[in-house]
Amino acid sequence: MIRFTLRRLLGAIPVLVAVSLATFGLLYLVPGDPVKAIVGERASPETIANVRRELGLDLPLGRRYLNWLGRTLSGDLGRSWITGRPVADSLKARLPVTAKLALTAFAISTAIGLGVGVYAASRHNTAADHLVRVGLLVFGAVPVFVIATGAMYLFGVKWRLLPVSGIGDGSLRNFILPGLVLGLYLSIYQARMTRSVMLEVIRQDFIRTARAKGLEETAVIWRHAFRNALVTVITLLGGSLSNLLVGSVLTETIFNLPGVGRFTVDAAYARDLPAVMGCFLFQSVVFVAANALIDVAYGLADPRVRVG
Amino acid sequence: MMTLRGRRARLRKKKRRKHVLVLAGALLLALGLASLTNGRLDGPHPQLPDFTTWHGAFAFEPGPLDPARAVTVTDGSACALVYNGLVRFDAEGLVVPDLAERWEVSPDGLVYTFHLRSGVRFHDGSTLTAPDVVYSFTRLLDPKLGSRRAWVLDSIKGARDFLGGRALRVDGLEAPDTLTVRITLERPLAHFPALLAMPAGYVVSPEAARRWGMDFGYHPVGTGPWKLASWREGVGMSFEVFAGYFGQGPRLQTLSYRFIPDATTRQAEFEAGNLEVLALGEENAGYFAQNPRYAARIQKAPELAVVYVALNCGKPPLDDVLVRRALNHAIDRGAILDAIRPGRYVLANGSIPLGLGGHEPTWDGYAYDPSLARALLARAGYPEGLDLDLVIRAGGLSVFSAEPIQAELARVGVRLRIVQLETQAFFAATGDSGNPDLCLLSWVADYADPENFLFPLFHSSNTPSGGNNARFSDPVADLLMEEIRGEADPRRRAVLCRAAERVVFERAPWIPLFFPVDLFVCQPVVRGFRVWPVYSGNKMTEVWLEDDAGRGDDLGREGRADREGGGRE
Repeated sequence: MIRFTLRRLLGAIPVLVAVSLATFGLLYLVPGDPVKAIVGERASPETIANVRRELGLDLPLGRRYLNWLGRTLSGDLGRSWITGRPVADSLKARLPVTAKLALTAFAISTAIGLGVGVYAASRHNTAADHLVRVGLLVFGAVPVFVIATGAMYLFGVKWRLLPVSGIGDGSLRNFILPGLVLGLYLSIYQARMTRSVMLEVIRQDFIRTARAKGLEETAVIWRHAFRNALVTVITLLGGSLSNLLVGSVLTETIFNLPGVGRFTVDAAYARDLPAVMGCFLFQSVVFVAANALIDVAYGLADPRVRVG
Repeated sequence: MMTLRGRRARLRKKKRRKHVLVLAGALLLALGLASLTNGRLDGPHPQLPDFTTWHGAFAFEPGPLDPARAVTVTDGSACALVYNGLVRFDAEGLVVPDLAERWEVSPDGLVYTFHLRSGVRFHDGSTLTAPDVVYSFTRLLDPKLGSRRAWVLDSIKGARDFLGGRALRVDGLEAPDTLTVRITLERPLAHFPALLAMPAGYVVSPEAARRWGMDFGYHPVGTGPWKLASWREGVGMSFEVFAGYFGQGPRLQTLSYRFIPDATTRQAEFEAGNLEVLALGEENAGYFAQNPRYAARIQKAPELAVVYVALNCGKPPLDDVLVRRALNHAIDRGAILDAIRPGRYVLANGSIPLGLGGHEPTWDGYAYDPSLARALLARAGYPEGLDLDLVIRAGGLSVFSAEPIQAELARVGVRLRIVQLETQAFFAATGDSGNPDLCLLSWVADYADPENFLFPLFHSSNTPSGGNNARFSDPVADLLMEEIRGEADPRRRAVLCRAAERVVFERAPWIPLFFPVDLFVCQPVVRGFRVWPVYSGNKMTEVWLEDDAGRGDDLGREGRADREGGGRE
């Protein structure tokens, strides 16, 4: 098991290098001069040259990449070109926000998504199943900002049950609304996937056998069918969680949560290279780690994976 | 078989009961949570109103509060609280004394002598002296700092050499004694005091600036009425009253600003009573104007800005003045304005906002006349019409006005392609390296002077990125604008501005569109709020909070007495 885990982690290194190279190259290709973004359009040629030299932007692209790689490996993500703050500090300030939002949303979406999915599958082709499916479809078709703004007005402005926006003192109640909105959206996808995976399992012979034995339906669904659907469901959940952890730009913006997602988008718009590189590094680490975790979880859920 | 089905049905019924129970439990839990959170709002107004703290919002998080790094309106607004310049803009947008109690200009307009107030203190307790002013200005021009506002002071003698690394000091900056600053210019510049009133001209504590270096903006020390008290990255910042302020101190004790980028969210926070004032945009101006609760609480004032389409005079077919005039005649700007949002904008015929520096335009603009437009195009050699690109910035007003322009031009045979670009790409495309046919732009004044709406925008020495996006060049206009810059007499200046505007717009380098109007809506408790023509003039010293029963201001006054007592100890 340990060797399996280690192999997974080592395999991640080429991925990280490839992602950082691609990001660096893409930022080089997009239009807009980062130096002009910093010193402004009215700066004298001397100032522009000065700043370009100071940031190392006069070096060839390969050199710049190697410089960045060297600094990053020594743990220094550099300072933002726009705010002058260390990028690592900014990421550290934003990580808890994104993590809290992600975990709230994940808990809500998993509870609803798996529950509804299994319920709909166990009532295949009944009125309840159809109702759930159509309901999810309709809800999922409404843009997230409509639901988010609506929820904000009802709970925050009209009923004054929850904070309108922002993280306040950072306590959980600031994350209930955004977590709910984000979690509900995610649960649609999870419910639909869970339902179809469950349906596939339920059609199999061993389920018929279990029912023929006279087992209670609850036991059949949860102990037999759900356990066998679990490998696919874990992939689903792992993917959802890593998606949540890299930040959810729309939800973060509407609910005014200073998370990693908004930070990334702002940095990209400002051509703030150190910040963008820091964000992408963070996000690829999250993705790679999540995938490694999923693989490990497979092994726990299904002994056959460990052998293979 | 029968029995089995019967058992299943019974089981199902039992399970249904279980579902109902679970549902009820969830509902109870939700209600419990809700009641737990009820009444514990962070907002200022619910049960116990706090009349000493102002709750505001910034749409963007400001950059470091360092005059040399302040660029955006938000940066400048925050810096205005913490720092002072030698002079400042008053509520009419005029330049008035601030750190300098008076100043003199030599007859040739080259030497400015500023006499500082005595006894002005920095937040750290040290006393302001003339060398501190020289230090602050030199710092702004320091090539190592790379300030994007260095241009503000580059008219000072020797500033360009210092900026270019060819000199060790700025020749034109001197402090003959502790309370006198003497500034010598390269050539006369009548609006020089207005430049000094910009945030770039604020005076910093040399000791703190040296100590903190790169991070000074996060530990700002100035002489202003407010001290930075806290700053949570991405969340918000707060300011506390500086008891040793030299001027009329604030009536409030704390300013608490949150960073809220989304306009809808800001509106929701305002409607929940969590913000004292809300700046309105085109999307919600109508909503508040029609809402009886708020309609009477809306304040407006013209913004010192202009929205326009620049026509590229340096590139065929727009290098032909006939084509540029044709485009001007082809567009019914009044109709576009009505369609967008009346009240948020005023029609512009030229570039100088009405009333700025006593400006009364003599130029009436091009009348809407599509047949004349077609005739002009035919005379210019385009009877079949022509193809042009219009570059716009993603989002907001751009889209609102670009599509009607496209439709209007189509009627006279001009096929307009709209190219929408994200901000940085937009600046690259419309700046020095790009060469678009038309671009939709806005210009916001750096200082309240008509010169700021002429020289940067139309003088041939200015690059596209410096403001002259139309690449306009006309020797007569150039002469007039240079004349304006050297002219100190306001009456002659006004005459020159009118003449220059007319000369420029007869050559039709733009399709001028609108002058924006600033709109704000206030909570009922807000008193003494007004819209400042130049944003940095507002130091938040005049506003206070008070309900209809008169509660609030007393609190503030008591608080102030406390503070003064504390200061004496």
